[in-house]
Amino acid sequence: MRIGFFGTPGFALETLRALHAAGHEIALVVAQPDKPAGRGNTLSQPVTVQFAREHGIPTLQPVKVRVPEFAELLEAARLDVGVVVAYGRILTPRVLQAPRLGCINVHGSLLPRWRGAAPIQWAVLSGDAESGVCTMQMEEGLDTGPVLLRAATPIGPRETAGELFERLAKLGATLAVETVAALETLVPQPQPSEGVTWARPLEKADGHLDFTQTAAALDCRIRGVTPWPGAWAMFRGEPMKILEAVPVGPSVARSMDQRLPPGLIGRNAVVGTGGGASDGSLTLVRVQLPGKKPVTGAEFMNGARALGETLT
Amino acid sequence: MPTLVAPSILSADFGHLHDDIASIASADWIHVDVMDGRFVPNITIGPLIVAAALRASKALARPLPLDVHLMIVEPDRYLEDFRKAGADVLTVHAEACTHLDRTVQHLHQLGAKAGVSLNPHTPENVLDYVLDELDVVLCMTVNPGFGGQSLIERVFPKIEKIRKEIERRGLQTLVEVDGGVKPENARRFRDAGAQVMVAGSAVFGAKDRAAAIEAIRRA
Repeated sequence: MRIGFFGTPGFALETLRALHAAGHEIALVVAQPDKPAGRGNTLSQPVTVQFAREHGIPTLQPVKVRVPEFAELLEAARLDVGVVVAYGRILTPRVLQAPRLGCINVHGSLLPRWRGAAPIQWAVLSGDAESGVCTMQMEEGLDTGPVLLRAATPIGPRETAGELFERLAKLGATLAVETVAALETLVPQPQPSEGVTWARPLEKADGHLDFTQTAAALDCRIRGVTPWPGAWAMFRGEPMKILEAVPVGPSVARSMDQRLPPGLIGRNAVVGTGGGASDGSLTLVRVQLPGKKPVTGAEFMNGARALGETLT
Repeated sequence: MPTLVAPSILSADFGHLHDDIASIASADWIHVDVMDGRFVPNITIGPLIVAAALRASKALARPLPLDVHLMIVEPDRYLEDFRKAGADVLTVHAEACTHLDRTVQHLHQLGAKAGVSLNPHTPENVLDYVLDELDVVLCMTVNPGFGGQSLIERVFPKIEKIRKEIERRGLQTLVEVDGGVKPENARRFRDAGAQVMVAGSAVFGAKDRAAAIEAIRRA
């Protein structure tokens, strides 16, 4: 098939690479414009554009996508299908209809759950038992198109959003190849109207831990916001990053970690959580104070003399 | 604090582990004895059985923590495996660790509760510089290796010394005893300062296991 690929970050690169390896003709790679990187005046190129250049594929990085010139360009490209993965822009109906078979999208959730920009993070953050990827026939609404293929995968008990991202990128690449191969025979299934949830983009504030929550909820939040925006709590008036923590289950905490109020740091980097001992506690495994290196829970306890302090 | 009872599944029927764990649902912890044929003469179980015990525990209305006692040499090599298999409390032997402090830090890094066990002959002062980091001190009251042994009387003064030191330092560390514990003598262990009682044959050999657990708890 002659494919126009739309995608910007690493999540998209896996699919682009897989389609290319499957022998499809990638006629065009469309990505976001280069972004300033680092502290100098350097620009960073999207990884998909780098891949395209290495393989002699033409690239497009339009600043404006809602202009007729963009649609005309795509119409002239005589594409069989457009494959859209984390492009980061909303495409107009005319662009979506430019390829002969329209555009398909690879989305990192089991639709209709977690429509929107941060589906993988919200699945982990919400303690979902499973996540997955869907391919859908794109229509005008955001992530509302009928589903072509889906693949589910359980979320590991210690898995972070970053780790799930990498797994889903590979799963999505496989699913995209299967979808493109069967595209002319697949019957798109409309998404159910029930079970729709919205995965808004995360902000820095989403990483702020509220220790009055249960240990299980805090564990999901930490894993869901890792690596970005990252979990944090205030320690002696400064935001401390919590890079890794392990919840102590209620059954263990019943006989240990008693009388630790929410946020109080006890021995061995154990922090009290909501519900008191009946609901468990959280062991800090790796933390980072502003301007310092990441340290283990034990190093933090010794170095900062943190015993008896409170995280807020 | 109330006495915690930790039946040892070494005395359970491994062919019916789910049923046997269901039969001790009224206990506080599930004690798992891991032996390697090197630190102790016997060979028992590995992470796979711990994972099976975890599944059985999760099937209970009130899941019980897994208290995994590693009677093995070089325990550091296996801490992660046992933690992943579901161990909540992981106890290593002081005699098996050259760098005990490092091993204890490793346990905390894994998010496990850290226990250190002492054989009957090992003096309690090996814990002097690590006690503050421990969640559990496990006193062997028999020579480890086999179930069904009778206890060594000489360890009672040691239990008392450990308890006093924990209180002197204002720690929350639990003292656990393992070997020859039964309803008839549980009171003596409690008076000496133990809060966690491991019991194998005294629970699994009893006709009414719930009653045996309750008898040890109320002793």
